[in-house]
Amino acid sequence: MSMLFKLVVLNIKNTFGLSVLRDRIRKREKIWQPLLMALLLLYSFGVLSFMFSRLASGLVMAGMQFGQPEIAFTIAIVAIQLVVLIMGLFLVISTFYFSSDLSILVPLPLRPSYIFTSKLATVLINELLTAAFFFVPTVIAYTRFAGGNLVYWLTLLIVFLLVPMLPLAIASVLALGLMKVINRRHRDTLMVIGSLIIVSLSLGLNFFIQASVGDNPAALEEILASRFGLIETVGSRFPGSVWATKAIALAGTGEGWLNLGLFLAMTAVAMLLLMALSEKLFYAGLIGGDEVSRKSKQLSQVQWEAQTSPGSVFAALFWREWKLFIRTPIFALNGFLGALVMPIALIMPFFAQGRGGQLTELMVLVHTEPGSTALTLGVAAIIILLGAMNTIASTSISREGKLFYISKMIPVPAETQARAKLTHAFVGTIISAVPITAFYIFFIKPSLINVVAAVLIGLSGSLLGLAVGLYIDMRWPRLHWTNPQHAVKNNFNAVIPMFLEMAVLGGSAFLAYKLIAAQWSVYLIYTTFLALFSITGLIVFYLTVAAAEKRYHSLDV
Amino acid sequence: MLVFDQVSKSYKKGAVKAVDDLSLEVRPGEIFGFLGPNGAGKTTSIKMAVGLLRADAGRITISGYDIAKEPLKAKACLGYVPDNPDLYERLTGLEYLNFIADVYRVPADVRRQRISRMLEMFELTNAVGDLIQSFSHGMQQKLALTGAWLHDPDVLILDEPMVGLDPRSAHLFKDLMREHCDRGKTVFFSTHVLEVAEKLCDRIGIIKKGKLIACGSMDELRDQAKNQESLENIFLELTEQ
Repeated sequence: MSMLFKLVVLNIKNTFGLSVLRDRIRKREKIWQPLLMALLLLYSFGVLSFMFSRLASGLVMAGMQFGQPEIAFTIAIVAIQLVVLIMGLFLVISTFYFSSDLSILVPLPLRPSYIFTSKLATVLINELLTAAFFFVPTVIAYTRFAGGNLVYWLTLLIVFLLVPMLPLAIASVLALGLMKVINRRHRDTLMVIGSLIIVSLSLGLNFFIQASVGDNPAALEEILASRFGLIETVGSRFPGSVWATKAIALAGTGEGWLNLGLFLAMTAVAMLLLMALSEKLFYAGLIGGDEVSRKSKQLSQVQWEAQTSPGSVFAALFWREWKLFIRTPIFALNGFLGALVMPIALIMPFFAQGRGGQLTELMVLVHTEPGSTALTLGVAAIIILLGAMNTIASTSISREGKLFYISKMIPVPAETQARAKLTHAFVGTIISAVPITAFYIFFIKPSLINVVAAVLIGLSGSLLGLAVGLYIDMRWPRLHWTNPQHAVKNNFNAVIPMFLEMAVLGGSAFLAYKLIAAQWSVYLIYTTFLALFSITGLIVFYLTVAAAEKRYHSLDV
Repeated sequence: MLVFDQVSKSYKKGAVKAVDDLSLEVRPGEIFGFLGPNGAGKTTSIKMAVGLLRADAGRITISGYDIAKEPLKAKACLGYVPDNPDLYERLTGLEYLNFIADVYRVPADVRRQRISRMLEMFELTNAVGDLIQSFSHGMQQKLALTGAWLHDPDVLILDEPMVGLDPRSAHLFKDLMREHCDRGKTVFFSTHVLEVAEKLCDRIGIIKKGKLIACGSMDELRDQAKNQESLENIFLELTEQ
């Protein structure tokens, strides 16, 4: 067991750069960098928690009306479990099968389950951070109302630590199974199939939950009348969430201890089963995974000439970015999966609840003013958000990792390289915009001018986030990673443009409201936003490009 | 062609001197071997020469261009292979070479002729259409060397170029270095294989704790080291002092 503990500590130090941090603190070297990162992290945690705290307070207040304020915990726990299950699968696959340090660990005389568990521990810490976004505001909202003694706080801590484990165990079993079934040499296929499965699962689940919320007043009354009735209904499909909620709500009572025991036992059984399974399946899917078969076929004359034909420097840089991005499943999925899922998630409630009629009403609304303008600007806002979410620009230096030396070595100005990166990010944003635009055209059937306006305003609005994202990544790139996941998903640079765009969209929504209220013409409103976004975006675009030389020069590799 | 002029580099706010007042000149037509124990400052010197690290003091010029002041012109004159040839694994070998040819602006007929020749020499012709991730370490090293040679640079800077090469490829590669220098170009490389340095290099520099402790032809080094016969003995004597 002590070996397992040592391995867990080693993996945590390696993954989160704790040794580097300690070294820096000891030598008092660039301590401001981790401090700034911690501040930014706290800031984003604060922003997200604030957003969720309003929801949590609302849930507690609403629950109180039916004597069930604990519903806030059930919903938070269900949300955590869903998020961990969906996001966790990517993290689990990449951590278990794509980490470069596995080639060091596997030859050591260690049990497969030990290596597996030590890797799982790092994933768990990541997921606990995610869980905190939902859990902490709920605790604050609920405790303000209900108060709490020592046992209550202890129960909260235990529940918090346990909540992500079950969904992680499910995601891990899925990953182990997939790796066993899929030819071990096709790790990329595993990533894509895993993602498709998880997206289908989450969308299916979403559909199922929405479809099951019926309009039966009698049943609803019954649910609301009984103590924990609402909680049991909401949590019925999520094992453990009801036990966890009851453990918190009834902390210190016999029933509270019983529910905590049940929750603990279920989690422990799941983790033990997972460890046992990993002993059998982990190495079976892992070993040989680095091998990639070669075709070793001589190119035909036509292929040879086509593949050695000269192109411009800019085109060479652009295609390098494009090919490396699209051919690395973790990068491509991180970039485009959200764009694919977003329209489906938007349309689902209408069909899940049999509210096709409401869609028709929406269509009527969008063909009248101001609904039409508002919806067009809404679609533009989604395009802007998708541009920030695809993280192509904000991780573009980090993605190069240790290969950044090539970009530093080639005789090409950093400005040209930055322009190629931003162009790639912009093309990526255009692609991200396709599904939502298609959804807009197909389901809402807006006029041509509204489609053009939504796309142009959306794309011009995305420029700011892309340029700022690239600047941040040039300033603080994460070049030392052992797993491509760290370059995109665990990279804080990727989050900042999203917050920036959210703030910009908040301001824009206010401006749009004022302009519509002042009865500006539709064309004038569209032109205002287009001009505002284009001018701001292009200025920041050129400032970022102009700063590239200095930033590249300052990066020692 | 390649000049280090009083170059220094330190880490940890000056506490560790990685390179200490290094001055040396590598002339046209010369193969220069750069030797030293682990951690002596070889890779740091090389990284400064190719613009991957900034020198704290001093000046490095490539074909007359200061790498700090005119980096693009200096980089256009050099080819570099690092000690660990990490390349873009998700590109095919040919895609990588064509990328390098594009950024160094190598004309179509010249790139085709040079790529063909190098691939044939390294027996990579059939593999070059495959993804680099399928290449062995040695194959990646050969591909990195091919890329560095593509634009026929004035100065080739190679960090441990023989690592991973099979004996036949290593032999042909040494011939290629000699041929390159016979055309008035320069090769500057670090190595731990003293036999290679002894047989191949016109001059050798030995660095220890960041300082150049010896520099010259084999005969000159023998004089500095009390007439030791082999480079191995000279190296051991000088670096153990």
